[in-house]
Amino acid sequence: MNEKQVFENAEKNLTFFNVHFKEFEMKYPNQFVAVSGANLVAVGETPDSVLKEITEKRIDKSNLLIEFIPVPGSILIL
Amino acid sequence: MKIPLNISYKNRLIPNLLVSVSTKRKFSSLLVAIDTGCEETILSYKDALLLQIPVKEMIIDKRIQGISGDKVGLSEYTKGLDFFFKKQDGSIFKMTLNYLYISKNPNGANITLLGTDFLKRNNLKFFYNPNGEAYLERDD
Repeated sequence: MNEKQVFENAEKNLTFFNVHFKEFEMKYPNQFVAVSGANLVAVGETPDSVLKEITEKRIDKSNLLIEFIPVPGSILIL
Repeated sequence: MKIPLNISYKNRLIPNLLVSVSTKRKFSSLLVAIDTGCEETILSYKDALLLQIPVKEMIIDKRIQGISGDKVGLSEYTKGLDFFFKKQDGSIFKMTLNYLYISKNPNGANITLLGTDFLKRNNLKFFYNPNGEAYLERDD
């Protein structure tokens, strides 16, 4: 897979994440979700638990978006 | 050269972009934020795990304290990371960071921050209009 293909896959994952974000906020606040192949593939309370599930499911980690889901309405300070 | 940015992150006005990052062992795509309030680039705990960097075994070299009072341990990472960016014309551009910090905190938002050090080292200008466009720019 070349860098352009990696970006194309990542953009598909991000589009899926953005489209479903409000749903994720309601279902998985304060948790981490993993998206791969434009599908939700894992949910967990820590990055470690999500990556463990990903490893068990043998999902390619180079085509994966893992994001924290904040509580709806909360303010994020970097 | 212009690198477009996303205006919002999780429905919050935080400039961000997708990047691909590679170590000698691993290649992953990450969503990272531009943080001009931070003078160091900090790879999040989850992104370090994703890149198979042994963050749990690394010692704490520095601590940062947020406005909430929470302290976060940071480890220095000097093995180098290649960051790949998508330019406005769709082509890919590589920038190497030889030195950054890794967060030891598994909790919280866990987003990688590109700090002002990154902008300075790579001669990048940062433009952010929350009502319009956002981008990084460098004179070629």
